[in-house]
Amino acid sequence: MLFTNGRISARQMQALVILWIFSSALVGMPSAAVFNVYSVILGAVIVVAESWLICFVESKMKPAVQKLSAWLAGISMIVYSGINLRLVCGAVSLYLLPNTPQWIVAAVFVLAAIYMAVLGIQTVGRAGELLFVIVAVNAVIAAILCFADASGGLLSSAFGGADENVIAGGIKCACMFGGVQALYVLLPYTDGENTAEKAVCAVVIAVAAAVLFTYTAVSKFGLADTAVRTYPALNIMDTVSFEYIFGDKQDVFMLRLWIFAAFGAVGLGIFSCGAVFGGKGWYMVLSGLTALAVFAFAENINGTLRLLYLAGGVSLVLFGIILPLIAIFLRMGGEKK
Amino acid sequence: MLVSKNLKTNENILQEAFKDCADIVYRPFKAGADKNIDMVLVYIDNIVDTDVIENSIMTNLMNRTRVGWGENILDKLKAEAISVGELDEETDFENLFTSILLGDTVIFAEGEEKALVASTKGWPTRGVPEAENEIVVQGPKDAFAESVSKNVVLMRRRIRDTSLKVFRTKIGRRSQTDVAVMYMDGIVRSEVVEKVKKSLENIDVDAILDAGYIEQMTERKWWSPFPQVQMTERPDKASAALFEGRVVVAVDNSPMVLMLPSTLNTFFQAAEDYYDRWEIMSFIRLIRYAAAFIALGLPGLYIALTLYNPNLLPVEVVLKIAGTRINVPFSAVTEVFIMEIAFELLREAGIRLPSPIGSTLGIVGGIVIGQAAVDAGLVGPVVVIISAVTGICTFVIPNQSMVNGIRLCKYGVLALSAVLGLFGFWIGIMLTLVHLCSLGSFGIPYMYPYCSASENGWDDLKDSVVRMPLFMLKKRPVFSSAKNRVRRD
Repeated sequence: MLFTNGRISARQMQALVILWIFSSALVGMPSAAVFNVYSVILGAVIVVAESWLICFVESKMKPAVQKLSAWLAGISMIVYSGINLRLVCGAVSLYLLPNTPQWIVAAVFVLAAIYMAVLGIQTVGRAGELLFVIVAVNAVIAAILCFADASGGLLSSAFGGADENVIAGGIKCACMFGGVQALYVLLPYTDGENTAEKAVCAVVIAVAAAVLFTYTAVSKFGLADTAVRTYPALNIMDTVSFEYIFGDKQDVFMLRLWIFAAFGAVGLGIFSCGAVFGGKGWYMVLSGLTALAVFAFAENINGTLRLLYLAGGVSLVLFGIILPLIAIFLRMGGEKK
Repeated sequence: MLVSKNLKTNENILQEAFKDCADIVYRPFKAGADKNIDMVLVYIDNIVDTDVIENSIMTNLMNRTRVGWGENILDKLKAEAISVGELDEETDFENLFTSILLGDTVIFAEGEEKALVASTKGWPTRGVPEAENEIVVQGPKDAFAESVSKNVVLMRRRIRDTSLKVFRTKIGRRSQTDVAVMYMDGIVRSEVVEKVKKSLENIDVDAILDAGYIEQMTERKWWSPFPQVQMTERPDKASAALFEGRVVVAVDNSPMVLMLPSTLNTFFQAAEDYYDRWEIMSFIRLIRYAAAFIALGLPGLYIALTLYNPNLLPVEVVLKIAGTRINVPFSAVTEVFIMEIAFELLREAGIRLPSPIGSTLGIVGGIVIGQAAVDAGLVGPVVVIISAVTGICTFVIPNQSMVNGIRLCKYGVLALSAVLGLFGFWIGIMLTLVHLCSLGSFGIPYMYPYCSASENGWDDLKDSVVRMPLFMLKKRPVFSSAKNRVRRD
């Protein structure tokens, strides 16, 4: 019976991919987009192309290469999870709990994510599907409110300021999206037909959402102001006036949206790392501790964003170029798992 | 131990087994054309229908039989003399003991190595009662009673289809409780029926005294506060479950039947959801889900906002709350805990007390004590309202087991909110969500159709948070076999 075969449906895979990419991109993208918004669009195109390439070669890889890809993807995903964790804790500390040590916030977040990971891929998939609905509804509301609140300058202010080379900026932006290496881990667990096409479709949706929010942030605050804000995408509701609903802190709306997405992403990252190396409960706990170690390593938000950039660069090169080239070069005729 | 040809030996075995049982009746008599066949009837007084024994068995055996000695006596009596509807043969004494204890009458004859078992059950029963816990405004009022046979009859009354199968078994080493497993052949998934039967076979206890025993012993995640098997006292609800492809398990001596598989969605459905118009019922369903969320999260949200982020509330509200708490000596967390525990005490006391006192207690506890606590400055009025609203929301949810699960999780969310504010509240909600996603019931995800709805073409969402018009509910839910999922064209 489908529900008991230890695999997830294509819809659940799509939900997880969207949460994974969106959670990093929502915070990472605006920091890279400060130079040229066109770069954001180019970066999105690069990420979609990378995901298409990964989906194309994944099913054709030999089992040994598939396993290697999954291992490397698992390691990469736990690094991303640690980065997400650091960013989340920074935001929680800034907006909600300024007096609470961040390591406590991180520990609670990781424990909750470990609980999800230990329960297996089907629980991760189902929870991801539900978290996606919550995130999507909130995102749509945020988008509608922000655009409704726009005072006419929204469309014009995002264009221009092309001080940096668009291609260089595009590559930089591509590094700031949550890595699509998650596909190496998720696709073997996915049931159903046309999973590769559905995965690419999910990547498109995620990058489009990230581009939209980045675009909104830049057009609201301008390139210069976006550069100095810590979490510009979380501030896009600042100008929306619903005093009797949101009180004074409309950022909490976006913060909630983002924390739910980040929870799904961190849970997926912990599961992926634990699953590729062992699969049992203790490996998930070790993965969670590894994410905490990455969190501890990243001292502040700026350092974390630089780490995200570095991880994105390695991911782009390794998973988007080297591994697919190896697979194509060796003419992998492996069977799909 | 097998039945002996010697009647006296058989009697001695029975008397040894039922030693010191004053309600066992041994009725020796002579039957046959020449009144030369020694026979004995054995039954337990007061659990048999004595009219059947006297009119259908003894009168016929004593006066209306022409059987002679050595002529396969019991076979002839079975075919020509005993006019009871259900009449079996048995050779094993263990099975005969069980039959006697179940209200059957056992008939021995000299020279026969078997006995006849006549169905003469006459248990004292309640008749068909009215539903007490699942009350509906519009719809049938009858409910299950304690007799499993009568409960099966109530189902047969609604389902006049030969596809309704009833598998009977006994569970409990000493209680030998009758259990009936009902399902619609062709509609139900065969693997689910097999799983249910296997789960029941694996139950090894002394006694099954209620359906709740079976519920707890068939759940996989026994540590979860949320129920994974649904129970109902309503035959109409159980019949609807059968048409959806679910299995219904009736247990003797229990007025509740089990319906499985079960999902979160089924616990939020009431019987009358299908008896009234779809608009109002959809609205009520939305109210139920909103009530569940409020019951789970309102106290925690109140603590998170007032303790950590009062700036998220409108200024007037914050000032009002602060004004009412000026003289309260306790922190907001302690206040909320005091009121929640007080409400739990009132709820439990109201259940245990006889009804005339119970309703009075509700008024005394709810109004007098609450008001007195506020006047004494022990708690603020806002907290009383929070607790009252939370409590009322739990009464909106139609299934008590689900309410109990939410009640317990509420304290977890409350604790996280007290420690980590709004972040803790969100973590609590996410943890509850993840836990619900990890549950399943006989292979069906607990959160279906809110996840994996595409498995049945998204059709099951038409009867979830909202209930679409009946003509739109063309397909049975995912519980049913894929080969027979269409209800109507």
